[in-house]
Amino acid sequence: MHDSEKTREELLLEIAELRARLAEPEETVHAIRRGEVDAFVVLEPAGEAVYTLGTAELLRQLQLITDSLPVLVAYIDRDRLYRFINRHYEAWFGRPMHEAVGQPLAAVMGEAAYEAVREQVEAALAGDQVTYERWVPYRGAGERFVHATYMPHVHAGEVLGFVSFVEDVSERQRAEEALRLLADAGERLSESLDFETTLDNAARLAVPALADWCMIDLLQEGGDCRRVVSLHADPARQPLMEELKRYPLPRDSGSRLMQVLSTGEPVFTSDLTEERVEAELRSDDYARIIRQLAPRSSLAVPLVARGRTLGVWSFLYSESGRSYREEDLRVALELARRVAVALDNSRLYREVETANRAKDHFLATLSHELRTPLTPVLAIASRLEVDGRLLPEVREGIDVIRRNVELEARLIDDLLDLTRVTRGKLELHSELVDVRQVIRQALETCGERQLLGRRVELDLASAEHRVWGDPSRLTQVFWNLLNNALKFTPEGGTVTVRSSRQGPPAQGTLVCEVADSGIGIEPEALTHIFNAFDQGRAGITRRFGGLGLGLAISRAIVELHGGGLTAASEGRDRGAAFTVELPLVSELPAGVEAVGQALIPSLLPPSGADRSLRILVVEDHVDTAEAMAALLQVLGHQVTTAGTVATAVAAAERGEFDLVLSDLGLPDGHGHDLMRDLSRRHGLPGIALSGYGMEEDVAKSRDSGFALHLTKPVSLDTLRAAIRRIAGSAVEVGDRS
Amino acid sequence: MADPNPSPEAVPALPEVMPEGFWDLKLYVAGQTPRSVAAIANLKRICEEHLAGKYRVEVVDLMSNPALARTDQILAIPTLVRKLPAPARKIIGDLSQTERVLVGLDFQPRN
Repeated sequence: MHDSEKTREELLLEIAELRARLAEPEETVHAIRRGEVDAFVVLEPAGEAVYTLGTAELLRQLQLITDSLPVLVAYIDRDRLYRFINRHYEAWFGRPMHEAVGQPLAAVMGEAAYEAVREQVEAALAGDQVTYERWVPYRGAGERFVHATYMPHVHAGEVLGFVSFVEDVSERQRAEEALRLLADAGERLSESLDFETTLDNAARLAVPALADWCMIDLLQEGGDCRRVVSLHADPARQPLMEELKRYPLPRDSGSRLMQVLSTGEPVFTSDLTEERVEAELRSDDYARIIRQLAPRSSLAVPLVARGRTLGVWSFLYSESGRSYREEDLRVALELARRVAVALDNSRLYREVETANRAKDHFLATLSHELRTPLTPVLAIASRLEVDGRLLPEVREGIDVIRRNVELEARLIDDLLDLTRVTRGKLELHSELVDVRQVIRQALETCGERQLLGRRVELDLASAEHRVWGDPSRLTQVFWNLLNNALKFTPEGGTVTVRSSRQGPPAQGTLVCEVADSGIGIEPEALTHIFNAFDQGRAGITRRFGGLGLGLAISRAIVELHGGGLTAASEGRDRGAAFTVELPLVSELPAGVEAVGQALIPSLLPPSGADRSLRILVVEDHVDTAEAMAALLQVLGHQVTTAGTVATAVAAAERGEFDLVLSDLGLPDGHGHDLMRDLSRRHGLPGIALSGYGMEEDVAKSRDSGFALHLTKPVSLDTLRAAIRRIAGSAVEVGDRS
Repeated sequence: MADPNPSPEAVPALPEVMPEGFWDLKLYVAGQTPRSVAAIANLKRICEEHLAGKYRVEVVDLMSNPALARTDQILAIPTLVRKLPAPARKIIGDLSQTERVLVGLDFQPRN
């Protein structure tokens, strides 16, 4: 045997080894008893496995660590059951942890919340790490904005579950949303001074950011309320909201909204119970609406501006499941404060608007009153001027009278224009215009007399002259510039009108320069000559004389056309140049068809003999009527006058007329009604003559059947051109029939 | 499933010539169980105090690789195995009783 051959030493070693082996189980037991070991290797069918003792201790530590994190920590297995949660779950869901562990996700967080995160849960169980941020409506914990990360637990290529970290960032989110809301409010509320628009903006700011639906009740004069806003986030519910408008706050109601109005303090009901809602329902129908809207949380804040309570703004949550908190109250109060100020501003603006309209009306009336006495003077002067029987020196005197009356009328026009300009109410009746024709027309209007030994040279070299504009307004601009240039050019001097084209082909600019060799403009005056209200400077007033509003108006007109008007001068006695820049039209604005060169009446070239017409003149101002009749007779027409609507209608019944020329303000009626009548019964064309020359007056005349509207006083040329135009179209109509 | 051989980097190389009185030790632990952590700390303290410069320790985590228990037939954890000086000896427990550990290591104080 081998054993017998072993040395003694070897045997001793072997014995020691055996002893040690025998001692091992005993030592293991001792170590266990002393608590010095806490893990064991166990042989399982699949191989060795380690089991630890003191799992409770480890778990305690794990719990301690996860509980101290400011996030919800959970382990969820692939069956969507909670296997581990930290203590925050208790606080969120209001149930002990042992009740949640082993439960399905949906049973703990609620079906609605589970639906909200289902997609992310599935992604995590598919092995993807997911991070997301969103509002989640937890059961018990309420709606919270969470930042969440799911880390899948993958073992041997299999997803066993995932670890979930959920952080409540609602505060941050609410603060951000509030900031955004208030920033939006600042922007939106400054958009408009209109009362209705402001209310509409307010409602759209609140819904859905701060409410599922909201209402604004405004205090009316006398203490009643009017429900001016009633808006729901869900369009399908809006019809109910419209019905709610029929139920403004009753004055004596003890409701919470009324309380807000009387105390000026907000009312805040975070959790609106059904009983509470029911208790405030006033009538069956109202109850029906409210029950359908099912408010769950409400907030009502006063609208206070400049110390006055204007009304109450109510915010309500229903289907979103959200409820109001202290922070929402602060946001709502701030929003209400801004809206109230905006509403108050729009009220003030409305008051100013009303005052402005009164001023406009006054100016229009004043100009009418100022024009009326000028009409007969101009008519008589025009007639006498062409009366060959008078001595030349008398005719010259009459010419002075006529020119000054025309100047007076022009000043009144300018005054009216200026009020339009300052109020931004100057309207353009734009069409395709050839500026060359406009310039020639303006020149023609200046007349021989103004030229008197001065030459006007036209150098219209631009390849294009077509602009989109109002021909009469553009004529006014060039008339002003030519008139000024001629006025300050000494006899024998020259005024030059040049045109050129600038800019690229698609968006070119027409540049027209009216240059004179006159007394020039000092540099310091150059910046002031366009300012209507800065004419107090003696030098400029002296230079330009009178009110000199023409340049201010001209610049406004050119700017309305999208162009510019500038002045340049090299100094005293070096002449001056005014430059008009207008955008050229290469293509017509969308939706506009090209029209022929439509000329305003005064632009018609005086050519050919006047056809004799039978004209009915309706005018209650006796002097004017007579003067007009005399003037028309000079032009070769047969005239019948009438002072009232009644006599005019009677005259039209008796006799045949080709044309009616009528004042508008008549003692027994309005010229518009008369025109409608004459047009319908006799097919008479008409020309309105009025001291009122505002756009709306002209439009009204057109609507009632007048072919033209002339503003008093009317010059001979204008009247003549107008009549010719009517007569011409009448002939055309006649030819066709 | 698990690799039965310890990874070579985890084991410091032995000196080429084994000096007189060198302790080659292997400590089996199970992750971060309290006794495992205590055993690591105790062994480090004892070795630094008594065997400074004359030892090598390999720590084997059976939690991450249970199959390694087979090598030394480990049952309870922590267990320290003295590979050198021969013969091999096991010391079971967290090594909290220094005297017993020194006896088990077969360490004779110089004086």
